[in-house]
Amino acid sequence: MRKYAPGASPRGRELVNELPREKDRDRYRQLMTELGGELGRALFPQLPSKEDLVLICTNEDADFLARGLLEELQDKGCLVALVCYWNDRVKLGFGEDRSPIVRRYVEPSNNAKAFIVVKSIISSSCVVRTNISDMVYDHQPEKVFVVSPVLLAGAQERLQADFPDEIARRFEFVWIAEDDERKDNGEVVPGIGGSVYELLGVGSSETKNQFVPDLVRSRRRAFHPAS
Amino acid sequence: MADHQAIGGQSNKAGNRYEDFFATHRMMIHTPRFLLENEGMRLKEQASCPVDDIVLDLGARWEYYQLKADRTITWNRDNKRLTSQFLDQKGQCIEKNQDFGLFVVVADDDREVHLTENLPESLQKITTVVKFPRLRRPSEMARLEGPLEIPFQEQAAARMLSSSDREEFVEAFHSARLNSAQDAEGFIVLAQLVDKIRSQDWVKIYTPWDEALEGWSQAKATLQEISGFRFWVDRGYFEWEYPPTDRGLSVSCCGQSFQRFVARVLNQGPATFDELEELLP
Repeated sequence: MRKYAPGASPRGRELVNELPREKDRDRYRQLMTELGGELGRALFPQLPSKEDLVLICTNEDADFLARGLLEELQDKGCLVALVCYWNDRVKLGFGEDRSPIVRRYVEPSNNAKAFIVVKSIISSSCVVRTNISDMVYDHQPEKVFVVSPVLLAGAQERLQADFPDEIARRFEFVWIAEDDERKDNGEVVPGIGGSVYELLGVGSSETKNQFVPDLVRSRRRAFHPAS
Repeated sequence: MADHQAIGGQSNKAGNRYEDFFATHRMMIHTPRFLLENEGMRLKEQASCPVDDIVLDLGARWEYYQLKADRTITWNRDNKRLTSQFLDQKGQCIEKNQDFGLFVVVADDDREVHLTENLPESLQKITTVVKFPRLRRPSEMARLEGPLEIPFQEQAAARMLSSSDREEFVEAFHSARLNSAQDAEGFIVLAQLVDKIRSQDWVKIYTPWDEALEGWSQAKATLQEISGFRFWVDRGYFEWEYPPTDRGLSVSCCGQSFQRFVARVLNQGPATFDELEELLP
């Protein structure tokens, strides 16, 4: 059963309900980008500052959900550093999933006041946990916003339980819909309609790490003017 | 046995006991000596000897650990039980003509001070009091500092390790130890544990590589010409960076993915990072 975040906008609800039914790649990408904008509008009033913000995303989300959110915040005058991770998937001895980072794009940033961690869906929290851990202990941001169109019920608590209290209490969740059903293969129903890699057209779970987002390529030029 | 009541959180969940964390920590502390100097190590829990929570066989030396996470432990409590255990162990080690060390492991500063200051004279020189904190989850081992800091740099394939990289490392070791088979004497063998982690690719462990791969020397020369790009293979994995923004550690230099990468570099001859990026493994 699906429930909605208090205060979720009517347009946000429309988008998040259209998403799992959409099979056309271009339209799916467009919906994800629009959802990023909707989430950005919901997030903006909660930000502690317009500066010193770090947006953290995965390579598959960068050009769509993250781009929509980033552009919304930039339109509102925010200065945002981008961090993009390429996560692998590993299953340990008792079947515990882990998502080691095999590649990273990190724009230099000092004194991060807030992390904005955006992900197309949060269910096991494995990727999000890894990507928050990567820098949170060094940067010690005041707030960690975990932003997603769809959460699996209980994901917030599971994610917070993976961190020491002093870090977990900085978490704020910004979301639109919460589902409580998951198939045997781990897919949340209705969720976002299946494997986000294939729906976005960035490869399969095995090949998606070959995908380099245009957002990364274009922003990197500012740091490598000679290339 | 450690006092489990003193350990909070999920202390009763398999793998999250005080002893479990300490055993994994001991193996990780020793791993660089195994990887770099081929110094073996075996670990046994509940070894049925006087000091038996954890026993380490280091080849030429034996170490015996008793874990006491409760806040009231003394050498004299319960009719000098702890003292008797350590004296009995000392006697057995001398009888076997072992090079040995005895350790009592506590979780609190005041117990560390008390047991050290009141160490019975007959146990001095052979006994050490070690402080190891209570932990709630394996990943917390990645952030231990001081004498408990795990030497990640000497066992990881990566030169540049972040917090999450270190967490992945301890979680892989912890899971591997809990899943390890024991030898005929009930010991977990470090060499087998490292083999298991490598074979399952749970985490990227330092693995010497002699760079003997057809085409690699030409591909290497091509990569060295790319402005701003740096890379390393001496720890057995292809690690690279394009500072200040990009870095990666992906495939084993002994695997087919790396061979395919080398072939791509030879075929395409990338001259810039933009051209190389398409080819990276």
